[in-house]
Amino acid sequence: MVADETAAEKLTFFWHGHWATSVQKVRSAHLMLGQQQTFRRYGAGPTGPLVRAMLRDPALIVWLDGQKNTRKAPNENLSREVMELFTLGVGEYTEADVKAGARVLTGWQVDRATGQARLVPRRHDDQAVALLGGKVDDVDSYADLIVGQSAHLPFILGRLWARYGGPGQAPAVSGRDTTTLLKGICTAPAFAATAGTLVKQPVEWVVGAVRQLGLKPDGTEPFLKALGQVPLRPPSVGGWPEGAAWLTTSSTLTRLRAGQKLAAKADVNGLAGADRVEALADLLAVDGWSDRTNAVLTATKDPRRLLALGLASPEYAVH
Amino acid sequence: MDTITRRRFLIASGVTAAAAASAVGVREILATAGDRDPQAKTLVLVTLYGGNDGLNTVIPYADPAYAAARPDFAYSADELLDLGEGEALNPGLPGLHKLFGEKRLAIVRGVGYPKPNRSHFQSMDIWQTAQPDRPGTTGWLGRWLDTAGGDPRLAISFEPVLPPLLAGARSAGATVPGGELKLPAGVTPELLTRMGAPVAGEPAALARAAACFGDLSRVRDLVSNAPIAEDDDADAPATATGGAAPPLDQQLALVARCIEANVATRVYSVSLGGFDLHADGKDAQKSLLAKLDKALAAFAERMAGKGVVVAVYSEFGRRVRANASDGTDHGTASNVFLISDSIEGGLHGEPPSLTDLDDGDLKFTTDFRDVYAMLLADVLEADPGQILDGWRGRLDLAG
Repeated sequence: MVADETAAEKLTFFWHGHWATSVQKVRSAHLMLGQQQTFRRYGAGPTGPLVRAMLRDPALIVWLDGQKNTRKAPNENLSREVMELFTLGVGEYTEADVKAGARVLTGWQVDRATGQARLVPRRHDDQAVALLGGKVDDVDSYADLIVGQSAHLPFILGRLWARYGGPGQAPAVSGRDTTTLLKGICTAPAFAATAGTLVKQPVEWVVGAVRQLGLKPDGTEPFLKALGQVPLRPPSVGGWPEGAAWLTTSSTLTRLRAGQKLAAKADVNGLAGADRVEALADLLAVDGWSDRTNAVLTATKDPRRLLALGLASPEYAVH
Repeated sequence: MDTITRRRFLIASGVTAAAAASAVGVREILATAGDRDPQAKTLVLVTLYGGNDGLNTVIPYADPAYAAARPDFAYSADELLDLGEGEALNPGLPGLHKLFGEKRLAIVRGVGYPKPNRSHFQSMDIWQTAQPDRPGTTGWLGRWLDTAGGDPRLAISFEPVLPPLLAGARSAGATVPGGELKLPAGVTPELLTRMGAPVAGEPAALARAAACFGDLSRVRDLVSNAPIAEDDDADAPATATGGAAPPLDQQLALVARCIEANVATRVYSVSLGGFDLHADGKDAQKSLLAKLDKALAAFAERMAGKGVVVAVYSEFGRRVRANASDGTDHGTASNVFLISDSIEGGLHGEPPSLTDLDDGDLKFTTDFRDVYAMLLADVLEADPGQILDGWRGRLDLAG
C-alpha cells in the first residue's frame, strides 16, 4: 500500500490471485515472500520465464501437493491446476495430458530449511512424456510447451481483461509479454466502454481509498477480512471471485462502516466548500455521481460524513 | 438452550444482545419483522468444498472391488458403522449413523450429471447453477428467489462473499457473516433506501451495488449481533479448494437461532471446505467428517419437529482407485445426504458399480437435478420445471 510502483504492485497482486496460493497450507512466510518476489521479477515480462519459475516455486509445490508427487505415485493436483487455472483453461487439455503432466513434475521436493525446491532423481520419472501434441523431458520443456500452445496467450489475456477491463470477452490484443498485453487492453476501444462495469475487489477498494486519502494502511486489515479478501489467504486455488459476488448486504455495510473509519482519519479541508460534491468525485477518482447518489451527497453538509458516504457509494464500488 | 421466541428475541436485540449472544456462544442473532406460515419448511444446504470422497464416506465394504482399489484406506469391520446392503458409514460419522437408525437420514447414492467435469470450479458451478451443459450466471436457489418475489431475507448465507447458488437474475440472497449488521452512527434506513434507488440505464454492476443498499435496509431488520472471533488459524488447515466461511458449527448455530426465532428465511446456505485430499486422505477426511458429523447431529437434534430439511453435497467424489500418496484424485458421482424428520430415511438410489467405470470413475445413477426438484417441490413448494430449465425428473424417496 505504501509502494511507489503502483502499477507493478497491482500486477503483482493480479499474479497472486492468478496463481492463488494460501499461507494457510504453506505455513511459511519465507516461501510466500519468495513467491511474491517471483511475481515481481517475472510478472511484467513474457510468460515463459514466469511459468518456468512457478513450476519450481516452493510455495506452489507445497500448496498443490507437488511434494507428494513421485515416480511410483504420481499426484495430479499440480499438473491439473497448472493447465486449467494458470496457463490454458478448461477444455484446452485432456485428462491424459493431466496424467502425463503429473509425471513430468514428479520428484520436486521443497527443503523447508533452505526454502529451495530441488529435483530428487530417485523420485523423478525421467522418461520423456508425450502430451499436448508434443514431447517433454523436464520442467522447463514442459513450461515451454505449455506457453507455446495457441490457447495460452488468449487465456492470459482473458484473465487480465477480467481484472483490468470488465466482464465479457476481451478485445483482440496481441503480444507475448504481460506488459504489452496490458497496454493493448488499456488502449483498446472496448476499454473505455467498461466504465462502471468492473467491481472493485476489496483490496482495490481499501488500497485505493488509503492512497487517495493519503493515509497509512494501519488498521485496515479488519475491513479486508470482513469484505472477504485477505492477501496471502485466497479461499481456494481458483483465487478470489470477481464481479457481483463482492456486492452483498454485508459488504455494503462494511463499506459504510469502513468509510466512516477512514474518513475520521482523513484531511477533509477540501470538502467543505460549495463545490464539495465535485471535489469529492475528484478526490476519489469517480467519473461522476448518479442522480441518486448526487442527491444524497448534496444533502450532506458535514465533510467527514460526506467522505464516508462517497467511499461507501455504489459509484465507488465499481471502476 | 431453550427456544427463543420472536418476542423474547426482539427484547434481546437491544443493547444487551451482544453480551447475551456471546454468553451462549452464538455470535450473531437473527430476528425477523415478518411472520411466516407455521407449516412452511426450511431448506439448509450444506456445501462441502473440495470434492468429498464419497466412497470413503458411504463405504461399500462388502464389495471386493472396493478393497482392491483402496488397499490403504480400508477400515476394520469393527470400526465401520453399518448401514446394511453391504455399506457402512465412515467411523467419523457416529452422529449421522444414529440419525440413520432413527430413519431421519436419507442417503442418495450415485448422484451426478452427464459428462462429468473434473475441475473443482467447473463442477461446483454446475452444481450451483444446476446447468450441466452450460453453467450460466444464476444459481438454482437464486432463480427460486426470483420466483418467490426476490426478498433477500428469504435466502441467507453466512459467508462474506455471495455463493453463486444464491445469485438470481433479478435478486440475490443476503450475506450475513459473523460481523455486525448494526448500522453505523448516522446511517438511517431512509438513507439506505435513497442510496439504493435504481437509476435507469446504469451498468449491471453499478445497479447491483445500489440494490445492495435496499437489500441491507430490509435484512437489517433481522439482525443484531457481536463480532466473530479473529481466530481462523484454529480452523482446519486449508487445502487448495476450501471455503472461507466461519466454522460449520457456528454457521449452523446461527441458522438454528434464526429458525427458532421463526424468521421469514426459507433457505440457508452454509459450507465446510478442505475436502480436496490428494495426499494422506484417510485420517484427514475422517477428522473433517467428524467435524461435519458433530455439527449436523447437534443441528438435527435441535431442529427436530421444526420442518427443516438439510441437504449435504460436494462438487464431485474421488476416483475409485487411490493414488499413491494415500490420497485420491478428482472423480465423479457421489452421495447426497438428506436429513429431516419429515422424509423417508434409509438408502436410496442405485449404488454405482465399482467395476463398470467411466475412465476410472463411477457412473452416476441419479441426476442431481432430480434431488433439487424434490427439494424445490417438497420443501419450498415451488415449480421445479420453472427453476430447472424444464427438468422433469424428481427423486421419490418413498419409491
